[in-house]
Amino acid sequence: MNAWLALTKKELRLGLPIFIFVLILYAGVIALAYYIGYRLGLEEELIMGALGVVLLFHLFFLFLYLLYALNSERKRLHLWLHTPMPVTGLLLSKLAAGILFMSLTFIPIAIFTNNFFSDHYNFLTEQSTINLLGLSTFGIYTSAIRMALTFMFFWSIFLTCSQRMNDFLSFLITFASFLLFGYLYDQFVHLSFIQMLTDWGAISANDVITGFEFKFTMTEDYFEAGTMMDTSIFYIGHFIRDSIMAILMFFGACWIIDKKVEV
Amino acid sequence: MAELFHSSKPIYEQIAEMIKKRIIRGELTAGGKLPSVREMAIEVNVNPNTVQRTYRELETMDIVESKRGQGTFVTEDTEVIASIREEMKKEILMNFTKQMFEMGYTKEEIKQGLTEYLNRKGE
Amino acid sequence: MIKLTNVTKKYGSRTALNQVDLELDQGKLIGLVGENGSGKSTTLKLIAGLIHPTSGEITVNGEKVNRQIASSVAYLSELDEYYRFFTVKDTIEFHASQFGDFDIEKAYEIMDFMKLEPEKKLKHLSKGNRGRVKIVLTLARHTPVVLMDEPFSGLDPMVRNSIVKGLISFVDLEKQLILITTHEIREIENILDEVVAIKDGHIIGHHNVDDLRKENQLSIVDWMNEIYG
Repeated sequence: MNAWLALTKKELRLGLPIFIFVLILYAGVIALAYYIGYRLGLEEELIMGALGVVLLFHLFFLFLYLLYALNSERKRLHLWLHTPMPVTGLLLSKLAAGILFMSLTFIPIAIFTNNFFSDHYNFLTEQSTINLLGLSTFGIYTSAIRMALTFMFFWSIFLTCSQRMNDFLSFLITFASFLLFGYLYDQFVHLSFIQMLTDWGAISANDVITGFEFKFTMTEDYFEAGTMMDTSIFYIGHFIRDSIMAILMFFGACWIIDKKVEV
Repeated sequence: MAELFHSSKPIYEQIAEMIKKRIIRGELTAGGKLPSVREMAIEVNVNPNTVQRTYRELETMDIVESKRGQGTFVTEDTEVIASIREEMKKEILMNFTKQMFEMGYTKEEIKQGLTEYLNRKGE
Repeated sequence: MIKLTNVTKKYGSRTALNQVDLELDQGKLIGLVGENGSGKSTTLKLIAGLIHPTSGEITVNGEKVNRQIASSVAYLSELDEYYRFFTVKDTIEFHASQFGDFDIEKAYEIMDFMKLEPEKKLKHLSKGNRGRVKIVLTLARHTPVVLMDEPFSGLDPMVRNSIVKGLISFVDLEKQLILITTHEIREIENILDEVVAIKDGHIIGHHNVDDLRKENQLSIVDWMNEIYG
C-alpha cells in the first residue's frame, strides 16, 4: 500500500503540468467570456456558454490526462514496468492521480456554476439545483472513468502494435479495432435478451426536478413540460452494464500490458 | 587499469606476486595485517573474488594466515619469508639466464657482464 | 541461478536469440560481450522478464521468469531515461518505496562515494552523473541477480573508472550474481569472473577468466579478437 501511495505521489508530480495547463485554460475561457460579454452586454449568456464548454471539456479531462501520463511513460517502459507491482496497481495509480486532478479542477468550476445559477436564475428550486448538480457530477465522473478505462484498453493495444510497426499504422489499427469494438458492443446491447436484462431502474426528469417555480404558467407550456418530465433520461441497468464492460476492459488492458507489451 | 596486469597469467597469481614483493621489500612485515579483500580489490581494481582467491592461494603456501573475524595476516615464520625471498631471486635469475642463453651468451660472458654492470651501477 | 533452456527470441522475421542454452551461477561477476545487435540486451531483458521468449524457458532461482521477477532481479537499462523532475534524493526514495529489498542507507553511501549531490534534479545532471545514479539505484538493492546493460556506454573514462570502483566496493558477491553487457571490455576485463561471448544470437563461448589466462594465455580482449577474427 505504501508502495502504491508513493507511486501515486510520483504520478501526481508527473501529471502536474497537465493540471496547471487545464486550470489556466478554464480560467482563461471564463475570463474571456466575461470580458467579451461585458463589452457586448451579454455577460450572463456568454458566461453560461463558457461554463457549458468547460463542463463539456471536463468530460474529456481524464482521457487527456491519461493520454499525457501514459505517453510520458512510453519512453521509459523499462523503468515503469520493472517493478514487482502488478499492472493493476500501476494503472490504478495513474487513474487515481487523474481523478484527483479532475476533482481539483471540477470543484471550483462546480461551485462557481452553482453560485452563478442561484444568483442569476431562479426558476429552479434549491432541491432541483442540488439534484441536477449531483446528477451531472455523477454523470461526468462515471463517463470520464468509463472513457479512461476504455482508453487504457486501446492504449495497451496500440503499444502492442507499435512494437511491430510504426506509430501511424499502429494508430490506424487501434482506431479500427475501436470502431469495430464500438459496433459490436452496440449490437450486443441491442440484443433483446440483453435489453430485457438491463432496461430497468429508469430515472426520469421529474425525479430530478422537483417542481418549476413558474409564476404564471400557460396551459400549453405546462403540458410540454409535463411530457418532457415523463421521459426517462437514465437507466440504472444500463449504467451497471456499461460499468461491467469498462471494468472488463481495464483488466484486459492490465493483461495485455503484463503479457504482451515488451520493453 | 588493464595495463597493470598481463594477459598470460591469471590475475590472482599476479596479485599474489605483488603481495610477495611487498613482503620482500618489507612493506608488509611478518605478522602484519593485509588489507581486507574489499580494500585490496578496490586498490588494484579487480573483483573481490579474485583477491579472495589470491589470499586462499597464499594461505596454502603458508605465506599468509587468516584469523577468523580478524582478517588476513602475513606469516610470523621468518623462515617462510626468507624462502620467498630466495625463491623470487631464483625465478628472476632463471628468466634472465634463460633469455641470455637463448641469445647465445656464454656463462662467462653473462657473469662478466653482470659484474661490470653492477660495479658501474654501484659507483 | 539463471538458466536459459533452448531460448529463441524473434522480432517479426528477425531472430535476436537462437536456441540459446546458458547457465550462470551465484556469486560471480559475469560479462556478456559481443558486437552491437548480437543479442546482449535481448538476453538481459529476457532474464528481467521485460520481454518474453518466443520459445524455450528461462528461470531465475528455479522460478519461471515473468514480469514479477523484478522482485528478485535488479535491472539497469542502457537507456538514459529517468523521472527528470526528481532530485537524486527523490529518485532514491522513490525506488526505496517501490522495492522491498532496497537498502536506502547503502544507496546514500554509494551516492556519497559517487560524489552525487542529493538535492540536484536529474534534469540538471550531466550524462556521467545520471550514469552514476543508475549504479546507485541498481547496487542498493539486495537482489540475487543484478543485470546491467551497457553501464559504461557513452561515458568518459573518469566516470567509467568511478563506476568500476563503485561496483567493486558495493557489490555483494556472496549473495549476488552480476551480469554486465558491454563492448568496453577493457574497462571490466579485470573484474570479471566469467565471460560469455555472443554473436548473431548464438552463444559462442563461455569461460572462466582465470582459466582463459592460465590455459590459453589469453586476456578477454585477446580471446575476443581470436573468436571474432
